[in-house]
Formats: sequence, C-alpha cells, structure tokens
Amino acid sequence: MPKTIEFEKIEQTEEFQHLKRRKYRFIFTIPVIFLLYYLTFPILSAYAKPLMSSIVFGNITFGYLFGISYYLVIWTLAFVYVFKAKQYDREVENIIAKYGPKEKEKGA
Amino acid sequence: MDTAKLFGIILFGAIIALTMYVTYLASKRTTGTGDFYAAGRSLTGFQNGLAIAGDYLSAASFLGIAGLVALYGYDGFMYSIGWLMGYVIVLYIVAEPFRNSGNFTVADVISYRLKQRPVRTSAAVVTMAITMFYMISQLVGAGAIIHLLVGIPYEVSLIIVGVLMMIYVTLGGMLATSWVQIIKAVLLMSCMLIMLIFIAVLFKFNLSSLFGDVIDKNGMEFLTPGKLYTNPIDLLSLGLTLILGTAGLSHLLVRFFTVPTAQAARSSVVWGMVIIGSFYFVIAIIGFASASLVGEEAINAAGGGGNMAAPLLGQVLGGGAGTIGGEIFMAGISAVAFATIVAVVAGLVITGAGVFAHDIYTNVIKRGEVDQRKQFQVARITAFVIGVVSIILGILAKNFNVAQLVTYAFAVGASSNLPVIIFSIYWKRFNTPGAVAAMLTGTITSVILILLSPNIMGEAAIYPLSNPGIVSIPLGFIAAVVVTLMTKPEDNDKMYAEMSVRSHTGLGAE
Repeated sequence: MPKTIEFEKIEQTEEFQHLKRRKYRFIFTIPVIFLLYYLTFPILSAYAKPLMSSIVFGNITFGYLFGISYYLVIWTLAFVYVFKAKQYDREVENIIAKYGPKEKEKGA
Repeated sequence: MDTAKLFGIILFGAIIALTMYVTYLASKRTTGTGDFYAAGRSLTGFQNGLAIAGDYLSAASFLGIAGLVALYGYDGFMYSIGWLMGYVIVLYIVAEPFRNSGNFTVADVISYRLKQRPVRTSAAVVTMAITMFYMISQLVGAGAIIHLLVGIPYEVSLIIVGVLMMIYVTLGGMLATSWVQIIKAVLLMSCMLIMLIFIAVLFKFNLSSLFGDVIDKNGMEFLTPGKLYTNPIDLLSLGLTLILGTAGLSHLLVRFFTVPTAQAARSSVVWGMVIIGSFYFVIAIIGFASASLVGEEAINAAGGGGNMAAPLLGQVLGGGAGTIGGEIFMAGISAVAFATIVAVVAGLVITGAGVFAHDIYTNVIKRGEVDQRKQFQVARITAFVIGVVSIILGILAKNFNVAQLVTYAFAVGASSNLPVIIFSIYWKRFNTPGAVAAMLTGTITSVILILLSPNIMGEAAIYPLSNPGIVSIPLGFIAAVVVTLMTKPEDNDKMYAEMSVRSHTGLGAE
C-alpha cells in the first residue's frame, strides 16, 4: 500500500465530510422508502384481495400490474443511482487531486 | 425419442467440454491467491454482471418458480417478485464501499478496523452457515431435477455435479468459476428468450390473451391472491428476508472483488439487475403459459412439486410429446438447468474455500504469516474437501424438503452479515463485541427458529412461521447496536479514518 496516502487528513477535510453527508442522505433514504413500498405488496395481497383481483384492461389484473411496477421502479432507481454516483465520482476526483497521493499511486 | 436422447447427451457434452476448456485456460492464468480468490480483479463490469446473474439464478428459480406460478398462479407470481428487490440495497449501500474495503472475503471488510481473530472467526461461521444452507438446497434440488429430466439416479447425478465443480474450482479458481457462471447466464437467458418468442407467437404478442386463456382453463381465482399463502405475516417475513438478505449473501458479495474498481462494481450490479429482473419477469410468463398450455394435471403427474412445468412447456412448444421438436426442446431445457446448477454450486464452493483458507487458516491460525504458495495450496485443498463434504451431505439430505432452504440462507445473511457489513462501513462507534454479538445472535436465532418452525416440527411447531426473518433480522440489528453501546469504544480512530476514506474514494484499495 502506498505510504503517501494521508487517510486521517483526508477524512477531516471539509470536502470529504460534505461528500459523506450528502451521500449518506441519498443512499439510505431511497432504500428505506423502497422497502416500505415493497412491503405494501404482500400486505395489499393479503388484505385488499378485491383490489388486487380487479381487472384493469383486457384480462390484466391490478395485482399483476402492481407486481410489474416493481421492476420498472427498481430499474429506474438503478439509473438514478448511477447518475448520482457519477456526481460523487467527480467530487472524489477533486478530493484526490487536492489531498491524494502525489505520484498517482492509486492501487490497482 | 432416441434422437432427443442423443441430442440431450450431445448438448450436455458440449456444455461440459466448453466449461472444461475455459477452466483449462483459466488454470494457466491462476498462479497466486489473488487469481484464485478474485480472478486477478480482471473482470469487466458487464462480465461480472453476467456472473452475478449466473451466481444468483439457481435451478430453484428456473424450474421451481416456473412451477409455483404454473400451479398457484398469482401467489407464485408474487413470490417471484421478491428476488430482485434486494439489489436496491446491494447497489445503494453495499457494493461500492464493500469493493473498496476488502480483498478476498466478507471478513476482510468486517474486520478491517476491528479485532481480527474474533471477527474473522464469527464471520467464517456465518458464511459457512449461509453457504451450507444454499449448497444443500442446490445439490438436493440438482439431484432430484437431473433425475427427473435425464433419468440418471440421484446419487450419480450428485457425484457428476460435484466432480465437475471441484475441477472448475480447484484448477481454475475464481476465474474459471466466473466464466462458468457467465456461460450459464448466457445459456439460461437464451433459453428463456427462445421460450418467450414461442409463447409470444402463439398468443399473437398479446399478454392479455395469454391471461384470458389462463382464466378459461384455471378459473378467475387463479389470478387472485390466496392459493398458496394463507398467513400474511409469513409472507411479510419472507419479503423482508428476501429484500434484506440479498445484500448479506457471502457468495454474491465476493463477486465484487473480481472487478478492478468501485465503478466496475457499480456497473456490474446494474447489469445484474437488468438480467435478473428480465429473468423473473419472463419466468412468470413461462409459468402462466405452462398453466394454460400444459395444465395443472400434467404438471403434477410429472412430479417434483411443479419443477417440470418449464420443461413440459418446452415439450409442448416444440410440438408436443413424442415429436422430435418437442423432445429436443425439452432436452435443451434440461441441459440448461444442468449448467445452471453446476455454476451456482461452483460459486458456493469457492466462497467456502476462501473463508477456510484466507480467514481461518491464514489470518486466525497462522496470524497472517503464510506465504502465497502455501496459502494457495490450502485454498485448493479446502475447495476439494468442501466439494466432497457437500456431495456426502447432499446424498444424506436426499429426502429433505428443500423448498425453503434457500430462503434460510437469505435469513442468515440478512440477520447476521448485513447489520455487521453496514455498521462496520458506516458507523464509527461500532466495535468488536457488537460485531461478534450481531453475527452470533443473527445466525443462532435464525437456526433455532428454523428448527422450531412448521417445516421441521410439523404440527407441533413452536414458532408459527416458516421464515425466521421477521424476528431474527431485527434481533441481529438490535444486538449490534445494544452490545456496541454497552461496551468500550474501539480505540482505532486511525483505522476508521483509513477505512472511511478508502471505502468512499477507493484510495488504497487493492
């Protein structure tokens, strides 16, 4: 491991703390909301049978569409995350450029 | 009939030959521990995404879920949804910092700033529990399925699967394992796509007319909840276990060490989510099509708790029983199911070998003072031993009901691995007693509740639910927090700073 990385110094910088705060707020909020949304599925299936069995169009039930909605939501969340993570990547690059090891000794 | 058998054997042979060739190539490149455990960090995000799908999509998903949908309609469909949902937590919270802070095993991450020996030992117990639940379910399922599909006796098919995976793992290490998983993922997805095209043409690209046919043959209540699950709390427990358990599966997490950077880990999860999501979306359609085209009676007549729903559908799509098209289609599906089993089992064996050789032997027993060659040797030997032990266990567990076993692995992962991984990365105050307490509490309560559940005790069950998650997951998290706060803070601000910076920036990551 390269000796030139000053972990403690980087950890204490305003930039790193700012990145962490912003990142934590995002990466924990979305999964918690998603968890609650996901748990409504078994609950609705158990306690709202008429709703879940109602036909929306043709022979497609509300329950089936509700289930399929999870795939659309989760894929959307994946792309939202990638978008956000690229912003964090840029902040990380700035931090490394400013405080990181001098001769670009980043591990493989 | 003979043409079909011949075709089946050729297909099996081709899959074995291809994977063996890949193993041969990989063995030439596998010269050190980094190659053996982590494929030399040489995979791209897309390759690892395929391998994640290959690791995750088991025969239980392919044959089992198709069968559940075909027999229980809506409830089977509801069951199929949960399997992708945990990837939100994998992607958002775990994958990138996990990649940055570890080398080869889950314990590398957990013990980064905690005391090595107690943490590595308990993490090894957790991973072995998860791997064993997963392994037995795969092997027993494998034996039964191969027996149903090809007619080879249970024990013989287990030995074939076992010998193959031992060759992949001991000779080719993680590189060969990854490529076996990639090949399997491609085969499996192609097979599903072909089935989907046949179904789509048959129903004139109209999902509504497929459901119309399902209703005509099975009645409207087939598409309403309640055919399989009667206890909503049990279903809630299962849902919680699936969504939180995925991010705690050791054999899945170690896949992130095969890519070079956190960015590659990120893109591999996204690719994995696209492939795995498409899989579960299509498998439900295959199940519904089987309910309409094959029918409950024929599926049950073939035995195996609905496991034959997808192969029988293939037979019908190819022209029906006795026709060359039908038999070839069915043989193709069987061969893919076989590749599926081998790939998942190989991933489990290499994870178990990593825990024994890297965590227990090298770091706990020898305290890190082992040269690479020796460690590499131990890893190969343990992979071989784990292979032999699991074949024996699989043969002994022949008559065990395995439908629930995979979800037990998720329950242990969610209640012991997940709290410890999250807290060790994100919670500065977290300490060694908290980590050990969480891992032991999560694993022990999961196992005890499983033993007290209706699946083991039947009518006399003390714990009323078939899934321990709703109790054991909160307990694991509570144990981590309470024990941490009751004991002295870890005296390691320096290591915390190092782990924090390393996990978020990749600085110093290997």
